[in-house]
Amino acid sequence: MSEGRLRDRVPVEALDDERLSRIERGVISALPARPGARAPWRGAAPWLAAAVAAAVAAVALVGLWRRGDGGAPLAARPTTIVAGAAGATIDLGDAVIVAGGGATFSVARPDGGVDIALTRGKLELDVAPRRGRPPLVVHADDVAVVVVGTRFAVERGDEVAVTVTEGLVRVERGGTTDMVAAGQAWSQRARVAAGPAAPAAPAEGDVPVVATTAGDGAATGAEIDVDVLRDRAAAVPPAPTRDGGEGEARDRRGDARERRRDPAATDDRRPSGRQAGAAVELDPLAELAADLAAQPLAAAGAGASGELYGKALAEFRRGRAREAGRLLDAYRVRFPSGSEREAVAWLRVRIACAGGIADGCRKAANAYLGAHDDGGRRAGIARRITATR
Amino acid sequence: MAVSAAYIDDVVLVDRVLGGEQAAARDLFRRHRARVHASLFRVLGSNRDMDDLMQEAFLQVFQSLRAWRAEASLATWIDRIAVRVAFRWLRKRGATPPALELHDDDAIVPLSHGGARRQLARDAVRRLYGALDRMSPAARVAFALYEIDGRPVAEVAELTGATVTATKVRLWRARRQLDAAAAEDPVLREWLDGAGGAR
Repeated sequence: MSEGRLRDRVPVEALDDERLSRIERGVISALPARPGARAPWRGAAPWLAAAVAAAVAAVALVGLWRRGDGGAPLAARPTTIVAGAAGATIDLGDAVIVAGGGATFSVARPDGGVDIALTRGKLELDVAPRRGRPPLVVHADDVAVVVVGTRFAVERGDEVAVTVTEGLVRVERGGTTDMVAAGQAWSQRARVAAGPAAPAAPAEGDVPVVATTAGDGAATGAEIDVDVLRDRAAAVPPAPTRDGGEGEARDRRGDARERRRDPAATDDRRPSGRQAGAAVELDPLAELAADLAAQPLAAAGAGASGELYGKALAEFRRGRAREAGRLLDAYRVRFPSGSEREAVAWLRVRIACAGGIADGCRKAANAYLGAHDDGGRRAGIARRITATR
Repeated sequence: MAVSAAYIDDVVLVDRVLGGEQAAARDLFRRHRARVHASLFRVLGSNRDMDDLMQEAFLQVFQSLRAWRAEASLATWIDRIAVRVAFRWLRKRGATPPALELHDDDAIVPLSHGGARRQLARDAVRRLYGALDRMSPAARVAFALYEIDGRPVAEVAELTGATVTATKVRLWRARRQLDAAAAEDPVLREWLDGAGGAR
């Protein structure tokens, strides 16, 4: 007797659709409720008419607002924005981006951070202190500007130029790092130099702006819901305090808009533009998170294990940390001796720390050190993370 | 060891289900319902409890999904659960097999030549499952997975949680019992002969 000898002689009875539907209903309805379930994206993109949009800004979404099959937060995916001739202002709740005319950039919100890739033009940013949240990073050409809470501008023309109005940013390029403080400027050629006067703060009426039209105000038909990019926690109206003020709550959330509304109000941990060159005290956890985020992730190698790691990396970059984590679990099972072990362990650290330096983050860092303490930069950062306990 | 796109799809799908996405749960059910049904049917035959068994198998799949460690394909893992559900049903039913289901086509009506052959084949299949009903659950499951579902011995062993040697012994016992049943049942014998003999 051989295997499957009777297979074709015992036909499987078909189940009709009604029975299948009944079984499916029975199964699905019996599944436990998951309070943590991700709600499907409702896709209600507010469309402001071209006439309204033209009055405030002209920005068009040129792509990449596609819904994938994962149901992950869409804000984690990059949204490409082309500012019209008049420029545009985008309020993300924890940061305000003022784009110059013709500026082209993409914005993503991976796990609470803000990732901006500037293709051309000028962006002015007003960023609330990150307070342990993942940093805001602006990429322009081969330059990465890592922010922990400041007001600054990045311009990409013939070269990339950074001007800092408040606070401090770290500019990284080709393995070198420059700290640029308030009142200073940085360019690819000149590096740090004395900066020009602070750029004007965005006008009050600019916020919030949902831009819907292309360059000269002509409607493109594309829609953008900037609201999904907004940091909800930061954007929630502050709860009134006993004395009626909102300073404490505002400071906790670091709402950039509130700071702009009251130019005299300064965060005592950030220097103002008038404090150019002064010593800057930074939130150590935010600084550590910035260092962590700035560490490049290893590219995927060849072969099946590399493919699986690459998929996890791609999911992470799309902001789907949980999916990435699951793929890394699969990697560990299938390729316990895979050549990407170190990269996998580091990606785990990144995933675990995406929500801030907390217990899960320290645990992942500790696990990384346990297997890969080679004295390198990653190990150094992992050690700093474990030391925050 | 290649990583197929289907494998990666499975990993991501499972993650979505574990994240509480009902749409993903439906997707998983729809992807695997046919194979679960086929596995149950080939082990148990036509069965009035089939809907309940399908439901039971998928509930176990969803309840255990967190335990899937992605070391095997999701389909194989689900098969294992379906086989376990079938095995438990057989064991619970014990030595009192239910009466075979009767169908309308059991009625004696004049048949064409082709119709008569189909009727004979259906009758033989019922007799086959009648013979399987007299086997131990372990031997029956091994036989059904190997002979009817067409799985290799090693896979049968994996699905039933037995060693390859134990699986071969079960198959040998099952064949011997089937031979004995066929010796007393000319319809079954003729049908088995048509499939290449009982051995």
